Amino acid sequence: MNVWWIYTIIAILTAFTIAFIWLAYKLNEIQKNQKSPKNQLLESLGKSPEADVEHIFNREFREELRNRGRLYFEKIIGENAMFLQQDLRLTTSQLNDFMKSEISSTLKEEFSKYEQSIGDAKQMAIESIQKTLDTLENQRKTITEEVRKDLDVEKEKLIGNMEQNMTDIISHYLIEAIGDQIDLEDQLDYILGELDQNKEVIIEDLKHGI
Amino acid sequence: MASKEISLISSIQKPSQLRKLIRELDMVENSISERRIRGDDQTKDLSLSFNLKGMIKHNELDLTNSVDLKNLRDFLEDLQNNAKVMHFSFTQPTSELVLNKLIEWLRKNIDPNILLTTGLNNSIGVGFTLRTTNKYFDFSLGNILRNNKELLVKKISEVNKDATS
Repeated sequence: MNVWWIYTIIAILTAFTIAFIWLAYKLNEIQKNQKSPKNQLLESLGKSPEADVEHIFNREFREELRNRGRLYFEKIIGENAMFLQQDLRLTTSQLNDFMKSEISSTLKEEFSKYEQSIGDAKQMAIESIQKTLDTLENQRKTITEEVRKDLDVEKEKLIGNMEQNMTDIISHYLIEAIGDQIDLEDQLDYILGELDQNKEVIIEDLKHGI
Repeated sequence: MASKEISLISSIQKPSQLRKLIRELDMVENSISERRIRGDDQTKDLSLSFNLKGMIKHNELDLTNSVDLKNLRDFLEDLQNNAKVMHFSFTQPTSELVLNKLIEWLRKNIDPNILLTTGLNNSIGVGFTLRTTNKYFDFSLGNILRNNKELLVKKISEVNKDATS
């Protein structure tokens, strides 16, 4: 961009210079054709065009032209430099804004993606934890049920043992307490009564026994 | 002449008494036979046990009669081999009265020549157990309590309910 600007400026300056020179030449020609007294005078004074040109475009005039050209060139240069500077600043500013916006959008996009991935990971972790919790809960229920069943079985066993042992204890107590207190002769009626009740069974067994 | 029907006397209750009687009968037979050979009085001063005397008297036997002796021997030996025996167990040793009553009932209701044996079992308490040829009868207090265990449990539960209410 800078190179093109410089070329453009140089071209413009060259064009101005050429135009200025051409204009000067034309003015000179016009003055010559108008035959103003001055011109006449001048004409009358100088008869050869080379001499006239030399006379008009003398060193001071050329110097003046050069100075004016130089000043104009500097002015143009300055203006164009200013334009260039402004343009550069604008371009830099736009570039900065563009970079900022691009970077911001890219960062936002990346951050949103990152946030999305974080969210997905969090959701997956939550789901995994929930599954684990559900599995643990199911296992807890299963184990609780099995433990309850085992406890019930154990309880029933203990109750059964207690009932069995209690009756045995009471039986033994009664037997120990009163076993020797009742004479066989007092039991005779009971003994004969039981024998009488089971008489048929006894006879049958003795009949068929070896 | 038809053989007399011989039966046991009530004092012969156990198989051991029967074996003893048979041994005694052997000795008596030998003694009588010796006396016969010597020409002495066969039954004079012959020492007989209570049971043998009872058997002879109860069955109206004549010791000098060899047929009677033979019948008696045959009867006793047959009984030794084929008698029905019942085994009773008690907590206490049995008295003579109890044995007599038992044997009287058994010979009246079960078999006229039945024998019995007795034993001791401390776990019986009140009552007795009876073992026949193939069966075992438990008429003890322990068995009665075991058979009524549910009643005991039920009563205990009722007591617990009353206590907790």
